[in-house]
Amino acid sequence: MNPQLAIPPEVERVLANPPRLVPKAEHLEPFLEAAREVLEQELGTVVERGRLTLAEGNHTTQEITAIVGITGRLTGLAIYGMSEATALSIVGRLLGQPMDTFDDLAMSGIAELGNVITGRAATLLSDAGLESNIAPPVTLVGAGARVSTAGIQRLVVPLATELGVIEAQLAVKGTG
Amino acid sequence: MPTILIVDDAAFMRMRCGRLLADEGYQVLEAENGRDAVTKYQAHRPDAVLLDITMPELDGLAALREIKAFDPQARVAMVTAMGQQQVVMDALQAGAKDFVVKPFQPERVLAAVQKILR
Repeated sequence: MNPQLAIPPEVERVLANPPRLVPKAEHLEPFLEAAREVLEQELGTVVERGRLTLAEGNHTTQEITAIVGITGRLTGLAIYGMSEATALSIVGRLLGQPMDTFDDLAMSGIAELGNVITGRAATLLSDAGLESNIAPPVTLVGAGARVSTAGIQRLVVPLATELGVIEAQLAVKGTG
Repeated sequence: MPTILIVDDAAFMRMRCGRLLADEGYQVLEAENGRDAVTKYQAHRPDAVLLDITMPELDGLAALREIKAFDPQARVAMVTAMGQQQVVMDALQAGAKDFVVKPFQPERVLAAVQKILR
């Protein structure tokens, strides 16, 4: 007789309705501060924060998206989305020359921008006692791709600059 | 003029730093990760190295240790987005002579190169 493997009902209930992981607002502040510092220094532009919203489910990408993994006392993802026109304007400003094609160099520039913002945020978090680290960044090109944040809800803040809007999203959870 | 090895996984950063150094007359070599950096250091023996930390294959701190094991006199400055105290301490203990945190002003990178070449 083959023993029937069964999932206990209490486990099944948890699997069917996993606890929602909501990032804390205080975790967001170092990322926004880092974004402001880096964008103002690198692009010479004023940054205006838009309204903070909470999103759940998979993230759907904009035309250009930089994603940076976060590890340590906080784990999760920082996601920076923007239009291709905004991305080209940003890379052009960083290089001091106009860019009209989103090529590998431009892709690398947007990835690096995400890397520097998130690295600065990790430094601010570490200074506050939340030792954090970052992984090499990834750039996605093309709108409509779905990115899973493993059940962690996302804090979303539009950052308006004179070069266009960068939508910053943070999906992190504390690990104690 | 001295030869500087720029190590960064971002082609964009290699281009930016390379242009900055070339404009000052330095010869520039590039590596795109820590493993590539160790190989190029051993092959070309550059006068100085600008080394990122967060990279695939082999990260910058591990590459620094391998370069210093090969050449204890190697002149290395870290150029990284990671400014945590512990990371800075680890890099200095492993033999880095300077530590530049991104985003940086161009003058800061040139000053780091001049300092480690001194």
